Amino acid sequence: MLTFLVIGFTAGGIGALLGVGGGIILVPGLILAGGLPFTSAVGTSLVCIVATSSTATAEYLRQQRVDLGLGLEMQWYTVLGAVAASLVAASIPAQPLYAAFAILLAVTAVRMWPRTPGRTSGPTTHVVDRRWVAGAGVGAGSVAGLLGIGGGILNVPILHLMLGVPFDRAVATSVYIIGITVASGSAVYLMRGDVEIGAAGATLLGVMVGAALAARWGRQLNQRAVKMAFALLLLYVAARMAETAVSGG
Amino acid sequence: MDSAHSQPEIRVRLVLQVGQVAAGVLVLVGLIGFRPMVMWGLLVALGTPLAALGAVALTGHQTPRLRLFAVLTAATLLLGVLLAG
Repeated sequence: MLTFLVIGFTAGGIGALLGVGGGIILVPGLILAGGLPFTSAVGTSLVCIVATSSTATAEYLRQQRVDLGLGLEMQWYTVLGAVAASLVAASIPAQPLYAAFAILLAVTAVRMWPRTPGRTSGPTTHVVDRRWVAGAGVGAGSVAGLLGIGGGILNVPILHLMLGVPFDRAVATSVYIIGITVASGSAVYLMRGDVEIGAAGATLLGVMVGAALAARWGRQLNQRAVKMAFALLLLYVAARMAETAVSGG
Repeated sequence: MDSAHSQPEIRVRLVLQVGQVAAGVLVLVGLIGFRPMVMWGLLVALGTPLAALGAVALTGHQTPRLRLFAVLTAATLLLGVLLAG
């Protein structure tokens, strides 16, 4: 049980800090350290990502870092894209998709890399370039649905680089969006019995504590360092995608 | 303290906080002894963001644009679950 608590704590903390779900830590952690089979690890991870989102969003709302209007709008487009992608996923070859996405992520990582000294927090107001919201949301949801990944790794760069949302607010808004997009998928896993209940419970508690602490105190970290960590995470995922594309599996 | 927060923000935050505390307590009680409670805790955790969405959809008469997107998202999610199920 302690193992699951630690996995959850780590994933919840990093997920809340970087605006991603934390599945990148949860799935391998639950398989390698927790001994769960792949499908159970994915199902358990999805349930815990919802908890990361809810816990961190409540704190980020208190800090007024969530753009709720933009989040709700993009959430719909993302869910729409994910549902559409799930209908056609089986008929699209995965390898070229992985290769293309690996390149896209690597380029995004370079663009995300901070070039000027960072500030500790963003302005409370900003101008959102709304021309791209629909296309970006549907695109992010489609890619997430096709590749079976969480939305955060796409949402944060889209919100920050395309829509002009300050990085710390992009992280908070992304965390909010993830909760809804993952909720339907995790409900399906739960209904099918693909969630290890005991492991999920212990991991969930760890996630809640980790996400709450990271959301509460993360703003005091240097945002430049957080942005660097996000860019490195993008590069890591890009490398994993490239590896999958080359190995064919 | 909440004067700078919009009504939807306050509602969403309240629902998320209550839901997460309830889920945490249920899971904790379940792990300590009464195992079926863990499942209830997970269900509450999963339902929490949906309840927050519902709070905006049902009570957002002052924010029609947010309400529209909340309703559209909920409908699309339902469609997604039905298609997957």
